[in-house]
Amino acid sequence: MAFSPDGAVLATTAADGAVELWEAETGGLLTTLTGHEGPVVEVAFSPDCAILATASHDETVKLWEVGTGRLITTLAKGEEFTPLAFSPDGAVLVAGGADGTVKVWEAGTCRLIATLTEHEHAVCSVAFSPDGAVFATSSDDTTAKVWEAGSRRLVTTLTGHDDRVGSVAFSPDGTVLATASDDYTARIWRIEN
Amino acid sequence: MAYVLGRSRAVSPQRPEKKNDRPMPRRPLTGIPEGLGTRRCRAGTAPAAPASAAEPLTLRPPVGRPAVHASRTAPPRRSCPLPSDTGTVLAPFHKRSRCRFLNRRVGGRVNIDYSRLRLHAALTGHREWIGSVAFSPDGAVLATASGDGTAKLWEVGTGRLITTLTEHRKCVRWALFSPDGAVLAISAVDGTVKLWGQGTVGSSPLSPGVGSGLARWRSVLMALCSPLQPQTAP
Repeated sequence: MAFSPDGAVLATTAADGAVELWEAETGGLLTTLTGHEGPVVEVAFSPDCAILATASHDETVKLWEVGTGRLITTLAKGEEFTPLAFSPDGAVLVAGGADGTVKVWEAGTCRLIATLTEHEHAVCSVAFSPDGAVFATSSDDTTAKVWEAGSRRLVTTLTGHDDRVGSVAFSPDGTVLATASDDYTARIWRIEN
Repeated sequence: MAYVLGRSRAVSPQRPEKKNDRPMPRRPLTGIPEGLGTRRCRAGTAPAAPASAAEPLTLRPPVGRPAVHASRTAPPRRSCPLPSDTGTVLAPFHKRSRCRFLNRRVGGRVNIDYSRLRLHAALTGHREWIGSVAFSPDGAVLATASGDGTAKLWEVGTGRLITTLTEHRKCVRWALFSPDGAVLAISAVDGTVKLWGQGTVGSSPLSPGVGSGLARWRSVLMALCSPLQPQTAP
């Protein structure tokens, strides 16, 4: 489940694939998004709260209009994605795949603009830098990678963990990255001059 | 949520006749958490939460905002199964501000040379997997949440361990700072969320399975964002 960035709407998921949108203030049900055929495993609101992206075990990623509950489009079919992240400006949606691919869609046009295949195993986490210039992905392949959001160029690969890297986060000023791993360690990565 | 949704056969008791309910009546929000709690995680063979803790709360920063904390999937090998598949995200409760949709060019100018990222510190001390990392709003402190049942706070600059928070008996899934940095919320797979105020040793455990669901949820959210209520336990 997720709150919209403005806190007004709460999205919850159910085992049958339905996603329900609730008015956070009153607890009233706003709408039910039906269309997924399997459990929804991730939801992400766009920064303007207008769009909800959902990823499901039915191997699709769908975009919904929050205001009306209308299905906008189905972005991915036949591939399982889990982490979803909108860029801070809402322009792109990044999804990490169970097979290690990272896909980037333009949110406005729903056009797939990049498929990044550098990760060898499932992608666990996606995080944008605060200014949206880059995003980081972490993976079962024990690495985290940083990508330029505009060019989708791989900027760097952070290696050193001995096990799955489950989470990656940027510091608020964007100059420090932290990774968390199943190898029982967390690591801090900084920009060195 | 992301990580743990099993292709579960569990039936959500809150949604008995969804298809027939048209138009959908406005139902109280209190029904949701219990429904979430009925599902199983893929990694686990049994729900970790006791029957009474029907509403596992997990905390995550608001999706889509500049994130200091990322979404993630379930680790494949958990020694401690997660109780809720989707109950992952509790964003801080912000005042109703209209977000602006700025459909700018994709990706801003890259001001920071991320190719120069180097390992600064390896934080060792946890005795199990680390599920999440979160920075404090000022970037000075990093919180880690681990399957060993503890959360730890680290000085980002030096990598020094500041403190270990050991109140939880089960795997700790998320640790999250409130936007003002005054409160650290830690959620565990036992369905509890504990809020820590800076400079205090005690915690204020919230038992989300008890009492009014909505009130509980909202109190947690409000506590997370209110600088004046660092330790709210309604």
